[in-house]
Amino acid sequence: MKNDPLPEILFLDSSFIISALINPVNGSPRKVKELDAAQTFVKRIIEEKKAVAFYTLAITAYWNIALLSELCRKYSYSDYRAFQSAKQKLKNSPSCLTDDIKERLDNHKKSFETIYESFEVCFKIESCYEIHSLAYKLIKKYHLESYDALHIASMQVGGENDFVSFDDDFKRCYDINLWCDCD
Amino acid sequence: MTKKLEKFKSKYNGAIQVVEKRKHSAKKIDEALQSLSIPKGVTLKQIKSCVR
Repeated sequence: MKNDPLPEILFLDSSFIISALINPVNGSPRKVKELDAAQTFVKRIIEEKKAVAFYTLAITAYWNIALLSELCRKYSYSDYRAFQSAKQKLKNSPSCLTDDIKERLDNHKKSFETIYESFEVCFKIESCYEIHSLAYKLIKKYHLESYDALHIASMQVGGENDFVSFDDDFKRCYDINLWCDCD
Repeated sequence: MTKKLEKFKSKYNGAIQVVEKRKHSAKKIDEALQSLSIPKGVTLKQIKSCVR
């Protein structure tokens, strides 16, 4: 993570938010380092009373990860293909979403809310014409996938440039200030 | 909210929500920050592909 002075507002990517909320117990050394960096950085933003913003797609992403993780826990899927197995289970047997899973998902929702309510100012950016039209231009400019382009567009519509992500794909965005270094 | 943040907010034509700030204890924040357990071996790249 960069140690530079924080700007007044930072944009958070889904990958960063999810990383900060993951328990590092089962992670590889690199992943543990990344998760620790994400959690330390979240605390720094809170302590320094800086504003954050994120595109609402991050909430959908977090929900998907929480749901797949809970299915993996319940049905003991525990290797690198675990999420694929959980997705298959969900597809073949929607009734696998039992009340205990719903309850645990509710707790995950509260955890996520605890974090974003703790920031001095937090903006949730919704879809709008300006974001989508800019995203199409950014797909071409940076060779981004559509979801990634939406995150960058949601930041640039507001005239901002400081983006927090662990995703290597954003290194293609040569004129944004990327706050996480994955190397 | 500062002038800069007000200006930032105004650029979204209403497609923006300001989250109400609440006071949470450091312990609660710590707990929230480590609340999600993902299976061993699942990488952030796989996580990314799962939300598509």
